[in-house]
Amino acid sequence: MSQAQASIQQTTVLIIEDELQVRRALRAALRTESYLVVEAASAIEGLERLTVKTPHLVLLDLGLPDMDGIEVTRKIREQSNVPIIVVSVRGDETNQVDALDSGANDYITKPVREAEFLARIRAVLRNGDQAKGSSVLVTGALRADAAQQRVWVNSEEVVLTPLQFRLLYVLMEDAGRVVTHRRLLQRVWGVAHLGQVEYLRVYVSQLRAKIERSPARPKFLVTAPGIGYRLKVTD
Amino acid sequence: MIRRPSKRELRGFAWGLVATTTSTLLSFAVQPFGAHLTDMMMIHLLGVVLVAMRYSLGVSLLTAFMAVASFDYFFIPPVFQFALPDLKYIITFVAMIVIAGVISMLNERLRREQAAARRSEAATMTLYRLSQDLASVARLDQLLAVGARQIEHTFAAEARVLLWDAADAPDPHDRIDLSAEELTMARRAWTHCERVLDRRAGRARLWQPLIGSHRPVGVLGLRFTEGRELPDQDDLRVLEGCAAQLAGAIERISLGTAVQSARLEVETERLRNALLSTVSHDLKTPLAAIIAAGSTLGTNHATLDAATRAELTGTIVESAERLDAVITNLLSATRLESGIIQLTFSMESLEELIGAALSHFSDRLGDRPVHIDVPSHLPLVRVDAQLIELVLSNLLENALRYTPENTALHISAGTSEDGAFVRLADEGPGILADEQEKVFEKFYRGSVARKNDGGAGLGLMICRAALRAHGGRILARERAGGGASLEFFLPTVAERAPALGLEPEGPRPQPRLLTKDQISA
Repeated sequence: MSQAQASIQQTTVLIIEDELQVRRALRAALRTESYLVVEAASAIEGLERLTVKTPHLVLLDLGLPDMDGIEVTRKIREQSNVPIIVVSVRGDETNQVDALDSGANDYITKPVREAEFLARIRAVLRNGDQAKGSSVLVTGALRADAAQQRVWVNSEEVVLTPLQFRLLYVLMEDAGRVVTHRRLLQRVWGVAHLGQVEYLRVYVSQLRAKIERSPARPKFLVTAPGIGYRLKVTD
Repeated sequence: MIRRPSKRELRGFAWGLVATTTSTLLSFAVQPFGAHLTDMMMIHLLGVVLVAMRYSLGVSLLTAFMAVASFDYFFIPPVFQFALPDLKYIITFVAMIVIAGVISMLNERLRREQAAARRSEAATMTLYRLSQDLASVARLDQLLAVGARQIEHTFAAEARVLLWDAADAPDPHDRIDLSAEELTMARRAWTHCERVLDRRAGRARLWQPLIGSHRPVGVLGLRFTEGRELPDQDDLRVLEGCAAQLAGAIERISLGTAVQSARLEVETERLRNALLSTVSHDLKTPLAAIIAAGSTLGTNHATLDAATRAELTGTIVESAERLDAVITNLLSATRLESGIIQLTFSMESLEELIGAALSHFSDRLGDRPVHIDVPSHLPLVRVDAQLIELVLSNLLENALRYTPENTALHISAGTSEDGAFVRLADEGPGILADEQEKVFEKFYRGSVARKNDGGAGLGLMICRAALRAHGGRILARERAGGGASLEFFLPTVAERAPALGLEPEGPRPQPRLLTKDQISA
């Protein structure tokens, strides 16, 4: 873990959140992992800080008073590819999905425990760790080889159909981060089937039946309710 | 009293002539057979009686006189001339006239009584019909319309019902088409509780106060058509009957509304009290824990050992999450009650929904054995995912709270003839048979819950409301082997899980592709 720690030392996180108490709590949590914290209390201030400080990660509250969260996401994306995690309250799934589709990488629902919060951040920051172009992905107990179309769970091979494999692979590419229904459908089935979440459900169910010991209590393929799916990474 | 005779009277006179003539001719006819004068008198009397039975007194008397004169002229010697007869004939003549008069009067009385009876019957019918119409009316505005209509029909006049509230203030609606003068008269009828009549200005008007059991409730105004007279005594009596019925109906409806709002107020008050007491308790308890733990940590941070510090922070986090759950439940309950929640349906996998709920509670489940029995190819169900998750959360919350820490939980799902079902059973104390329905009531805390200081009693009520919104149902049962079993049923879509024809699955035959319409049906 020391290699990872060394890289984290320099990591700057920009928090764009208008509530003082929330900022305080997030700041404290981030500092425990030695992240460098930059704060902004409004969207305008946030966008400004983004240009000046070039953080490694942006934590964006969707309930900012001066600009709509989706718009802020888009504006950030116009400037940079910095990973964005959107933060909002439970029940705001539509906004979260829109933000994810507009370029955010993951979401957090308030209230959330620190452990989960930090895990999400680590997952999003790990984006660059998977060697791009490599055909073999390893995530925790899962290992997938795109060239051979084979999968191993805990070193035991599991036979998947091509579509099931593709679904798993797409999730592994974004391991730890949520992938929206839309993106999954797009990447696995193509644009034509965008509205048909039922397809996804059935295939996810089939996949779980094959790779999970207890499909109703999945350890790998976790549902992000109302938003999409996530491949959980335990580290 | 000399006036022009009516048509009927003229007709009567004509018949009188006919009767007299016929009697005379008949008498002549029987004369050769040895008929006495008395017999011929009887024939004449008969003629007169026949006329008297149909016509008025005047006509009858006139006919009687004609008969007498004719008899005198034609039959009493000296024949064919008018001569004052002997005493015995005078008696007969007088008797004949009296008889004619009496019969005529009797008949008239009979006819009058018949007419009166018919009028009385008509009046009764009016009142009966009015009472029937009014009985079925439940709203005040309907009442006024229905009542006015019937009265207009009966009295051939325009009718208006004006209502005043308890004070003198006139009720604004329905006054628009009355003149200031009419309004004054209506008001007078109301304040004095007396009928007010008005014959001026070409059209007759009448204001009848409607008097309820204690006080006047309004005024009935009638505007008669041009040329019509005000109603006579009999009609006025009928009008009073109608007025009494209207007043009764108005009172009945006002009372009904009053009772309704009183009942509503009592119920609202009761719920509000229950809500306030439970809410304050369930919100304050975790808050108290947070403040206590937080302040202890704050003041004694340096001196506390690590284990205690961990415990206190743990308390803060758990209490805060408990608070979050209570608030969520309260909000959901309020929204569900007031119908604000708009359900968004989607095809969901029960396995997934259960999994999501379980992962949410994974910390609190800890090391508890959780037995899951969910078949892998359950059909998708058409639900509002968030709401069903709320149901599952509440069921899990209850199971965790009311059962001992190391007892197992059993979750199963499947399909039955009642639809898709999910069952959560525990091995705790269970729910008593007579409480199995009551637990779903708002704020109901079962005997078990009351022993363990628990939640507000909203959880199961929310579950039931949510299931109802899906056209499903939820019930509580005893688990075979001890404990409670909560199960809910959801109606399934007729189609089975969409087998998607996007790729062949081994030896299985090519499944057909469901179109978007079929899936969203």
